[in-house]
Amino acid sequence: MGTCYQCGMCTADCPVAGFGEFNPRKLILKPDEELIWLCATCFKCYRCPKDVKPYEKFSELRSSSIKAGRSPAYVQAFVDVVREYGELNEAALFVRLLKAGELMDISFIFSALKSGRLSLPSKAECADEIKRIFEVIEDV
Amino acid sequence: MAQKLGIKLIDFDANCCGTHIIEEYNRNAWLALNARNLSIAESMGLDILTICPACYLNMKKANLMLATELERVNEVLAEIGKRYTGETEAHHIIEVVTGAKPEKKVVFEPSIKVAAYYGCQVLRPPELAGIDDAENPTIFEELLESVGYSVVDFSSKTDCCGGTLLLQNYALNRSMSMEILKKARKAGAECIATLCPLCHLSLTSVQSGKIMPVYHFTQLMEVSMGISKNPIGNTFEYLKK
Repeated sequence: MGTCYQCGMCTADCPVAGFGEFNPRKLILKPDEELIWLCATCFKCYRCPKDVKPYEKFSELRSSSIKAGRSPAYVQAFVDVVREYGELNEAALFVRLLKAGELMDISFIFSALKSGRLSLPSKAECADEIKRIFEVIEDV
Repeated sequence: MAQKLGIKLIDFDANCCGTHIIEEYNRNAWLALNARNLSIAESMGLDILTICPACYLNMKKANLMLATELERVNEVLAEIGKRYTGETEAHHIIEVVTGAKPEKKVVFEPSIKVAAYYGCQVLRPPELAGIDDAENPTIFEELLESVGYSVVDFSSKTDCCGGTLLLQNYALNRSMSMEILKKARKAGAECIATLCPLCHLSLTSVQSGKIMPVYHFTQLMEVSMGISKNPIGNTFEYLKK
């Protein structure tokens, strides 16, 4: 892995950069705890001539933020739903996000309901095993 | 469709792969989640087929990591009575379907122009994913053409729909998906074929006006293979069986 020389290849390739403040080139130079959450994890920035792997850098930064207790509410909601249901139950996730006041645009939920893609919360068969995995790991 | 192609699907008690969210939250939990799924398939002597590029990429990545971390992860799996030795591979459904030579099963050719949309995680990062070349993949166009569809030249085929931003920034997700839809229309497409459930969801849900129908590629295949009589081209709702 090389050192970034600010060529901007990542930003030219980044599909998020065209729509707002998210700018991978600037973020590699000066990380920002708010903006790293706008990375779409699309890996378009893999064509870096210095192999800096911005997508890995942002992932590491998000991980550190989570460990420091500074992450958007959707992260904890997502983890809690998988821990409890064994799978990603969308309805349960949206309920948690609404409670946390996190979901900015609920029009999405209506659209998903209308098209029949949102089912009621139900646990996966393996839910107990998944709960156990988290218990074992978080106990260490 | 799988049956007609001679693919035998066996369901199993799978869990969520965790995606990058759980990987970043607790890497060990993420590894164990993926190792659990892989271990079940391994105990049945099978590989795993998934329709989801995120599951595909996460299992591929976990498998690579597990090569050196098996012992530690197996200590966790032992708590739920499982064990993994690293013998199972993860495949995206398009790899399996392509290998089954679907062109022999086509019964008619719908006259609709399709944009073949790959999205991200089946192609990138190329050191992990890779159903085809990351820069100019053609496997998807070839598959759709082989089952009777005409495919347009679509420059945004490997761009991102922003689906992973759905939870944190829906406005951004919407802008990115609208961009894909606009480019597909400009390319002369009458519908979009996706190979990702999240792209499918994202590209459909952002359409307030009816811009263009979006289909999972298996839905298009079922129509040209005569398995489904769904009205391709004039339905904007999620197709039911």
